[in-house]
Amino acid sequence: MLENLKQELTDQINNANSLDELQQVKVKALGKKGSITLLTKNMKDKSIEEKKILGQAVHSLKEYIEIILKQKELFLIDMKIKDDIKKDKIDIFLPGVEFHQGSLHPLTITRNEIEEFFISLGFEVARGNEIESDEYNFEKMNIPKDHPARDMQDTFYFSEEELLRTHTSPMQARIMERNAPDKPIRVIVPGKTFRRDEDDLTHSHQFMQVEGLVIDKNISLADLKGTLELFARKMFGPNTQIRFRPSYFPFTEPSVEVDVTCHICKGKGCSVCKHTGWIEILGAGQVHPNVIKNCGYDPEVYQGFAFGMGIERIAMIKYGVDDVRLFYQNNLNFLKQFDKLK
Amino acid sequence: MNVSYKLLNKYVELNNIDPYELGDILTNAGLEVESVRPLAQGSDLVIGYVEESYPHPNSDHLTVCITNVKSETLQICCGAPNVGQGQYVIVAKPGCKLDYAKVPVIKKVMLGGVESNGMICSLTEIGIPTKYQTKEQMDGIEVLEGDFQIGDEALTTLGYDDYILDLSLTPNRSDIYSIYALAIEVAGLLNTKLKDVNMSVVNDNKSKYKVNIEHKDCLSYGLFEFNDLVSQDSSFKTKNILFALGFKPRFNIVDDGNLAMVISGNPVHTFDADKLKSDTFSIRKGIEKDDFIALDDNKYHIMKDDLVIMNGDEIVAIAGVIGSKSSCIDENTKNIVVESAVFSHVSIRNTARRLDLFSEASTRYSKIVNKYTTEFPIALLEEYLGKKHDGSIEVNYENYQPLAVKVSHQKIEKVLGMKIAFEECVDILKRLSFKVEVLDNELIAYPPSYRKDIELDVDLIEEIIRVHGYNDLPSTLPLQEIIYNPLTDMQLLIKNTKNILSNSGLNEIITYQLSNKDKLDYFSTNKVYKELINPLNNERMLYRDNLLANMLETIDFNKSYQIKDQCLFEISNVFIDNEEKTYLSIGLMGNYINGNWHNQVLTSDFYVLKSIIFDYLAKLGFYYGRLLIEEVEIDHSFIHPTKSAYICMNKQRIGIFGAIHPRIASDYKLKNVYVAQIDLSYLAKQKGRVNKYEGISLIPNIYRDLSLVVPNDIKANTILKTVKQSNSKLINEINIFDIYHGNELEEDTYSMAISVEIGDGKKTLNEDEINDVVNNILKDLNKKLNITLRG
Repeated sequence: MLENLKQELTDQINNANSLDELQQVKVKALGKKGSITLLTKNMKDKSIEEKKILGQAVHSLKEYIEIILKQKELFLIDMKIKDDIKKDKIDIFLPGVEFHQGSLHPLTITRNEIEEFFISLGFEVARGNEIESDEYNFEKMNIPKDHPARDMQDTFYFSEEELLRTHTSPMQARIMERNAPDKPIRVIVPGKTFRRDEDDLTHSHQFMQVEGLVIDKNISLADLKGTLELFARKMFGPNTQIRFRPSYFPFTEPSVEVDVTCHICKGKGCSVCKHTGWIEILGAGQVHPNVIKNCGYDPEVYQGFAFGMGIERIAMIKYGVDDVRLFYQNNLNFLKQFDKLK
Repeated sequence: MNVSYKLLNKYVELNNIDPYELGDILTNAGLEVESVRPLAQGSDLVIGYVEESYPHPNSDHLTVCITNVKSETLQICCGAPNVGQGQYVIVAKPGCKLDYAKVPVIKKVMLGGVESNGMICSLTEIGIPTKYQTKEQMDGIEVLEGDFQIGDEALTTLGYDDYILDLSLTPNRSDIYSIYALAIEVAGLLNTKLKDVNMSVVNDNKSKYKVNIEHKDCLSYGLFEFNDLVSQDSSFKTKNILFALGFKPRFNIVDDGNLAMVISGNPVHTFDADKLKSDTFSIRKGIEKDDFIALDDNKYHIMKDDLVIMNGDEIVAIAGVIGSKSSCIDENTKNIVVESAVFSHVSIRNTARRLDLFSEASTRYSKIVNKYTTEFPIALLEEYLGKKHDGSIEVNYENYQPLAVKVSHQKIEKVLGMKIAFEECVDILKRLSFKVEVLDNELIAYPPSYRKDIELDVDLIEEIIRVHGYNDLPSTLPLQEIIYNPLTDMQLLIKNTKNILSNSGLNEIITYQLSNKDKLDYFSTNKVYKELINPLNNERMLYRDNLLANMLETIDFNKSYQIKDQCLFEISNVFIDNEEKTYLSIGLMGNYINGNWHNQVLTSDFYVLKSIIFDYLAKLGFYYGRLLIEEVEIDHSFIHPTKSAYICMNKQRIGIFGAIHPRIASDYKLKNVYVAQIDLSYLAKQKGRVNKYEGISLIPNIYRDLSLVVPNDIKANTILKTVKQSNSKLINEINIFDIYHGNELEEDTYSMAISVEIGDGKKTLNEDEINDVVNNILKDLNKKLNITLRG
């Protein structure tokens, strides 16, 4: 009789197709009036011996039914989850929320990259005013009035003595004066600069420069080369080479122009590098003894290098921008192309 | 500056280095050669002779020329008006390539039924720019004057086989405006010899003229007389050198003067002796004359600061710049007086700049002219004119004392950071015509008189490394004591601001610092600007005192590209209250979040802007409480007075934000533009709250929603403050989740729904405690603000 009940319940469990049906079977078997519960209740009339035998049999039946009920329940839950997943399918090809994509200006991105490199080499970053005095912009930089080099830098004046800085170099003097006569210096100065040029493809009356200055007792031209070589590799890739060409700036002596191998053709020659394989990126040199002296150091003891680069020029090379005016027009279709971190 | 390769070769041994290679060598030594090109171009050009010519039967402008080129006789149809029988001409035979001709490869063709076998060339067709040509040369073929061998290669025979090196010179090397100084340089670079040249003249100081130097800006003044000259066209060779140098040939006296100047670097000016009214010359300043007629037929205004040359009481030249019409030479001149002088370059440059007259002479005089070689151009003139001068007077100053510059071997290596043999250093300087004395490990160098740029030891070091070359300069890194200088507060603020705002969906812009009054006035508070005395144009003459003018201009610009949704910011300096400050500006137009199938559009408005600003300030550690907002004046000039607010900190207004004033919006035809401007210079000086752990509560908070009826004049901040103060210990947060204005409400009221977060943090509150909190809120709101619970 127990065998029949076992078989009957097993069949019902096997046939249950939903958790609801399974629950009904469970109640029928193990509920207050369930068939197995009733078996236990009916045992009170039996002898002790019979109770013992029957009790054991009912207990093992109950255990057995509970196990297969649990198994079936787990199976049905799993089935239901799988079923629900299928019903809950979304169209992953619909667009998401259109958050407005912000971006840094390409000149900021380039400037950050330059700053990060020099900070990693232990350089201080300094900021200076855009409105400067003739004394700091020119005189202290070894460009006295009537010096022919003043023709190189057409200047916006507010008065005889006050002007828009034509380079970030006036900060060289201010920083040297702050540290004179014997503290070593290692600084970059990024900032806006101005020249009285008509705007065209390659000229902008407002542009950004990064000035670099290292002063100590033994800072050599070779140190300049090593520093700029690392810089060029950081900005334009690990295989970039640099080359020095002699040049002239009133505030450095010797003065050099620095070229990097063209990153487009890798030095083979292309239209970007005018088929030379090289692209000019900055001017540099050993700080002129007159500048060192003007700013309170002894040029017989202290020497060092300085460089100045145009951020627009670096950004134009890096991103392939062919018109400097684009940086200042702020067309959103242009700016949004620079939404990456690099 | 254009340099003739052939002329250079006259003064220095070039050892068969071709012009292109020479260009590279000069560039690598710091004398940048921008281009190298042949003076003339054309393959297989020969000298031909027109034996017979007659009009073309079917054309009114062509001439048929039977032209002998030795190997054959060619029938050529020529369109030039000046072609004719008995002329020597330059002939391009069929197959000849001419880069500058209309037809680059010459072929046998039929012209109007007549066969034409080649072309008779004009100067333009062989590549000589028209600006150097006479009108006849421009309009026709080049007719060769003189006797020639028919069939000879034309370019070599005529001296067109030259190359032009175009040098771009740095200001320190103005000496190179002399071919001879360039020759010195080339000799040093190539390690070859300078050729012998006569640089001096016999100066007996016998002259009928007297010279009085009356101003110190004239350093030296010499006059050299040449009599009984014959004005004539210069020779072919001279003309071709002038072409290469970029000069237009005129006639021998002018052309020879130009050559003397270009070779020596010293300009000369030539007067017609027969046009001079006096024997006395004086060089002075202090004269004003507004109708000086110069030899270019223009009228110039001479000012008191201009150095002038007087002959008697007549101004015959503005010194170093231009001579007078009345004393200038012409094709009939026979007797000349040549001035070879040295003036202060500053004085000449100022005059030349004021008059905008930068000729070959004034350009040279504006640099520092080599004051020790005033005789050199006269020696050259004697050579070219083919005769000695007839009389001279020179008022001079001290003799040439070469400057001695010392440098030690150790200093050379210390500055360069490399090993270089001392012998090589000495050798390089000697090759550049320096006289060098060696004392142990130190050298004393005496630069040639041309090299006025050499004054210090580092100047010598530059010469050495420049000629040695930079290729084997090692790469090292500076060894220094570690100096720690972190970013300043201002630098950090700028960096953080850019990162926060770009991550909030804003695009950074960078606009010009210079603007114009009309645009700036819109957004200026006191309309006092820093003004340029030499602006480039009216658009850019003031340094801005606000960023909003450019912000609006940028929004307007992008709108013209049909970009409707704009979220922009800029950080830049402005000049305000007499100092340079750093400001932040924000501009919003259109949607902040676009709507689509999934979510509703979020259009930029006052509240979007408010969130952007206050989220940004919160990230910097500045929270509401320390920051306050204030209503703006009802007559505010640039911001919408009822949709805007000041941002205040420590009782100071540090910024403003809101809709732009409807008047400006209407001027720009822009709608719903919201802007902000914040003073970062002030903010950088403030310390914001920093991250600090304050413990977290494990007890869940309770939320109670209240729907209130509020009198219209009660603002949100008052309600929030009152609610909070009713039980500041247990009330954590208040969220306004609905605002409703409707007719069914009592008059002059609106409805506000708030959700209040209540919690103790330490224990769970029971129902009575929570009800107490709510009842207190309602009691306070009613008592203090006449706010009731909505029924």
